[in-house]
Amino acid sequence: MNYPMLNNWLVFSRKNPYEYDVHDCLYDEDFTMGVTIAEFARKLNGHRNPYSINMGLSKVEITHMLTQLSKHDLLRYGRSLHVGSGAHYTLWFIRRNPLLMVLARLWTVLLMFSWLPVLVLGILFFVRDLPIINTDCMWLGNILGIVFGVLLHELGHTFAGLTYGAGVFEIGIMIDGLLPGAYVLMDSQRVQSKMKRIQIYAAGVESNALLAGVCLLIACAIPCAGAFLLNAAIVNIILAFVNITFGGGLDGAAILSELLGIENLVEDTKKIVWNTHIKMKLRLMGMPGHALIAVSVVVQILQITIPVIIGWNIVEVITCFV
Amino acid sequence: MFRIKKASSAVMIHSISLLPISMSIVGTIRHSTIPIMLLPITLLIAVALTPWAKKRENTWMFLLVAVSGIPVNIVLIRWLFELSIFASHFFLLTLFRGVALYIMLLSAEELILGVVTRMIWKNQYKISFSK
Repeated sequence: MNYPMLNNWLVFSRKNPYEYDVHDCLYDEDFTMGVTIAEFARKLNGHRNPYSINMGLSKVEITHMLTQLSKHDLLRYGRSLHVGSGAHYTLWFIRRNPLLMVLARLWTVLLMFSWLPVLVLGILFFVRDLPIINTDCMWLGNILGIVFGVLLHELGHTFAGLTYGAGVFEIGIMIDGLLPGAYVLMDSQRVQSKMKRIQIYAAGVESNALLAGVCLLIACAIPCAGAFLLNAAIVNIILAFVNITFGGGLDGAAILSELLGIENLVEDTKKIVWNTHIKMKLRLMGMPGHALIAVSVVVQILQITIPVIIGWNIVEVITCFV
Repeated sequence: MFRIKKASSAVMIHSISLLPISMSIVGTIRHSTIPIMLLPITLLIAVALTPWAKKRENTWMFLLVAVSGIPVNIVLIRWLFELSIFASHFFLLTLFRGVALYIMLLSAEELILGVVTRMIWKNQYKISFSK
């Protein structure tokens, strides 16, 4: 990226002949922008010299606009991003095209109907045949299992998001604290159907389950690669199970938010548990209020125990290499 | 959906709401799989028939699964340890694995039954804290 690029998570809609409504999907903020600066900004794609954009603007005007956009943090100058406590690096800026949309739809339908049968068949065949395990290349199975698992996980979210009409902006890798990971930047709130949103969040876990099932099936067919594939399958099953827990930022929390109808599961349940004023109000509601308090307590207890899971997984992964 | 409304049926309502946990305890104590297999159905029945769960079916399903899943999950984890799949010589590691497995199982059960509940009862109240 040689030139500045407009933040790819901004969504423009024309408000009137003179202004655009802009929605910042990353920070969930709305603001308005003049037509000229908005149309200029939308042409900034990182590969185009701003001064070569032919909009009948003088160099001084372009410099002023760039300064304005930069001042409001609307421009980015590379693939790296610093959001919250994490450092992010963009791998793929997603731009919709017909081929990608067809691929996304095919993958989403295939994933939705195949992940469970493939996983179950994989486990059943593996347990029935129990191929002779060659202990070579076990560590390679772990590493490749994690890499392909994470990649397919994020692609699962991406393709489901594209299929159901969510705003999908980019895929990347990140480091949050000490933990590495991957992310998809998307605006799923554009999707009206709750069940479709749940499918978008669940697609990552389904991808890991599918990969685990495929690895187990291949392990039955090629026993000499049994240990390698078994380890890759185990890593993916662990990835799937970790992701369905209710920790903040994990898929399980997002799905549970949708199911319970709570906008921000972790933050809202925290408010209920620790804010006595809210708790008092809920108690006055009777049974529904008490139920909500109980749900919040359970979710918050689970929040405390999530580090145990992460700790366990780190220990398990380390012991695989020892 | 038919719901029990009369105040005189309070005993029956409480019995129905306690049915899942009863099934779970009976199944685990008697080592019988039938009550455990029937547990999801009793959970759905409990949510369907209790009046206070109306339009809040997912909230109540979450709570009922969390409570009635305790005996089943503990037995399941004990069984996994007996199979030596997750057992370790180190007590702390065994404890870690037990807690982690419990949370993962609970999360999976909550999500599966939550999705089923949402598919049956689509219109439910939304919980908002914006004001």
